[in-house]
Amino acid sequence: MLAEKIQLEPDETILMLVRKHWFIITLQMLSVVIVAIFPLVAFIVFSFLPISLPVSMTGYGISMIALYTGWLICCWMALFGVWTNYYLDVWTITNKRLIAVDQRGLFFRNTGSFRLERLQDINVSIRGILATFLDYGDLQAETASEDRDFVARAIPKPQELKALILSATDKITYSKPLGDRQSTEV
Amino acid sequence: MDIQISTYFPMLIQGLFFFLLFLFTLYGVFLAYHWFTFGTSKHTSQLALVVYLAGGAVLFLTLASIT
Repeated sequence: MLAEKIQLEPDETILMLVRKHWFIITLQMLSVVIVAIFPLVAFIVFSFLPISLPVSMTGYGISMIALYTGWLICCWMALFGVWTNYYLDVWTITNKRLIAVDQRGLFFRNTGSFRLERLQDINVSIRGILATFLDYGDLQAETASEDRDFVARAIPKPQELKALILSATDKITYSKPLGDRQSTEV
Repeated sequence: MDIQISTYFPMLIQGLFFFLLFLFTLYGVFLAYHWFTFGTSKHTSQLALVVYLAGGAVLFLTLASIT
């Protein structure tokens, strides 16, 4: 599992695991469900319209049901593909590090981590009516490294997460001797 | 030569069944590998696998009963 892959240090504990907000995964799954029932809805709508199809469907009823079941199997697989992206796309916040896994596809994932003492700034952005009411938004962590910033998109309660990360960072910073502290503070 | 497409439909559907079964199994193996390797909870991964297989079984049994 992920905890074994991360290889936590002896005195390191996981404070929180953060995934995207439930609303995002619900929207994505709903879109798959709509795609799944679309042929059925289209068939029902066409059967009520006073138009005739260019090809006669008489005698193909069973075959059409079989094809539709095949379509449902594909959608079932797609549904789990969506859920897998949600499940594996996770930020792990420990009392020492932040580990970000960005799952973009079944065989495409980026993993990055930084020690909390290297954290410089955290920006939270909540955009839109839904994001405001459902309390989700983007969190961007800027590190001392110039290589990359860490961005978690559409995460729930971003302000609380920011407070948690800052509190963990403060604990590390102020638990160090003054000499070490000055070298890490910017 | 009058060839009716309906003659070949049962065969095509049977082919579709085995093709989808292969695809479903392969995809399931890939998913299970990811869930149990990179997932955060063994219990969640197990539950996901059970739901994936159970839903798939229902759909494949439906397809099998038709073909």
